Amino acid sequence: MRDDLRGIWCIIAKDMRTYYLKPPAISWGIVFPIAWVLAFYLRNPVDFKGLIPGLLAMTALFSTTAAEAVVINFELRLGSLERLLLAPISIMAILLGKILGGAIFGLLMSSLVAVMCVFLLNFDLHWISFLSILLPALLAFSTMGSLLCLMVKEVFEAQTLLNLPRFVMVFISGVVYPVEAMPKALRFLAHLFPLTYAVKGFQGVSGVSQGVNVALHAAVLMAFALIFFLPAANLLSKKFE
Amino acid sequence: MRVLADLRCRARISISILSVAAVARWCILKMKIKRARLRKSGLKIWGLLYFRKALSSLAYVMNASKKVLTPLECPKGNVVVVAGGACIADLCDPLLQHPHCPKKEEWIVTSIAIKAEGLIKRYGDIVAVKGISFDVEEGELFGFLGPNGAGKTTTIRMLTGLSKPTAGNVELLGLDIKANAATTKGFTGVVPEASNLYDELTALENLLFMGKLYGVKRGERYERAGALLELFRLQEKRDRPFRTLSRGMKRSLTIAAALIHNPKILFLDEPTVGLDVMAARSLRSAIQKLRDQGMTIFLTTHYLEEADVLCDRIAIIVRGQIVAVEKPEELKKMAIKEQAIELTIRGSVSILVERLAALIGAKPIIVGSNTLRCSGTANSLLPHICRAIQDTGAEIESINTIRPTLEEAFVRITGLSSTMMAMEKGGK
Repeated sequence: MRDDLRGIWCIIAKDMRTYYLKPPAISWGIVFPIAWVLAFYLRNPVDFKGLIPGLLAMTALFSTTAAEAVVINFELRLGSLERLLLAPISIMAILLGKILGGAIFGLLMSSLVAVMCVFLLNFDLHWISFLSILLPALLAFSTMGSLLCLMVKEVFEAQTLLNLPRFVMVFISGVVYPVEAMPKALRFLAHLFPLTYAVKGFQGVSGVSQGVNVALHAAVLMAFALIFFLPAANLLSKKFE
Repeated sequence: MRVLADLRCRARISISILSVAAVARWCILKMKIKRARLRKSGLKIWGLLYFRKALSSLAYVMNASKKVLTPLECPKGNVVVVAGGACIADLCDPLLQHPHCPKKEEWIVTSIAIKAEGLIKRYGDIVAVKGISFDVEEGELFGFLGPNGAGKTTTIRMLTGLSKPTAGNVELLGLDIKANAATTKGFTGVVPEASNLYDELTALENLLFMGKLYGVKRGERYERAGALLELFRLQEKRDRPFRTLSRGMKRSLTIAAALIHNPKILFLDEPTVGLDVMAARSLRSAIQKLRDQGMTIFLTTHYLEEADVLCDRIAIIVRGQIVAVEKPEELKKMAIKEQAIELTIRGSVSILVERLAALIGAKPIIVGSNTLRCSGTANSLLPHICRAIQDTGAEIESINTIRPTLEEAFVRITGLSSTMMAMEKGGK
């Protein structure tokens, strides 16, 4: 257990240094969601505060998954991930290290965007409630990203595969258009994606939506994380059989 | 009373002889028994196993640190008792007091660092490794020689726990790697075929990262990293990113990274592939230094000269099967029974050929205008040859004994062309 915890910490610290805190990851994680929402702001500046929960959820999604293809597929290809397996740490610990690396980077980026929204736009945010949604959301996004990356071999394949749910979620998870206003089929589809619960949760904690059960949304996000984690661990184990 | 005691002892032996090895192994695998209890069970094991006649089955007892297991065996082959480091001292006296115990001087302490038993690896219909078994002793530099695609890397992956064998077992220092994955990984260092450290990190950072991953304490980490950079002559490159190093330097640093936690066993998968002559020579010298320090080294290679120069013993693997395991010299003897003598004569050698052909066992062949080669046993041939040359009035310029090479031995044993071994991966 101690070996695993040390291994997780080592992997997080190394991934942060070598991959996440580099311009490509930062730009993809933060610039892209801001540019996206600014486009909507320019179209409708009056109701911009209503878009902030979606902006926060999108930042969390894009930043956690920003470098996962590199962190996982690139290292698998180079054999660096195999090198980690030679150390006295379990395969679960390695996967957790990768997932938590993405989640921590997402936490930094989302917190930065949240601080900007609070101080620059006077956005009303209860920090503890905000974190109660943000943390499970980050874990869900990061495990989802890891699972998708482990389903393919190459970095470009992983990037392509990651973009598919990311962009589908941006359109149907209530980031810019409320889920409630969508047709029934899309509403059903929206509830299969974690971003929907993250957006709704952020709307609840910021008072944009009333009567949102924040605890339930956090629990659903945690369930997503668990559901994604198990097959991801299985896939990673199979890579070394 | 003495007869009664002896009978009781024999009865205990016969009842328990089958179960002892299993019990002892269970003791180790579970790793849960306290030392005091283990010592107690160890005493039992000594008493019971003392009369075993077969050497094939070993029982193990943990040492104080619960890691190193040292088999101890009797040279006569009628005692197989295995105890680990600290336990040997504890258990010597009770054993020596036993009426049938051979004198301590007759014991040979051997320790098996790597034990592979019936390893099989299948990939679908393809059987990459076909039930191989071998032992590597502690402190030995064991070569695993074979052409590309013979199963060397697959074997090393199974030995290091990277790949699960389809069947068979691997024990490192007496511990089953499946049941003790974290422990065995803690005392092994692995250098994969590809130099796969992190491009973004500097040479020093890569070593420190690996040290941290293996739980080496901070102070020791810096100290060992410095020593390894010095050993591999990389001090000047310590602050340069891995990606900027030459191929030889990358290889050296990859080996250094595998040594940062001071492993007991080092696995080297084709360490000198793709290196220039100087870099390969420097790396071989570093490997020799490690062997001299007592490290057990398992080296896979397809370079015959490398195996010949470095290894204490060599296993030859061809198409997933081990065809020979021997010392390099023994392999050469096994394959080539006869030596050859090469003579350089002042003057023509043609007159000599007929005369030498008449000598029993000499088969002279002209290999140059004034050089001929006679095959046979050097000791018996030499006086006859010298006499024959003196009779013709010729003068000997030089005499060389031609010894069989490992390459010749390899060709004879495997039936493969040595050019197959010279091929790099991908058939280049």
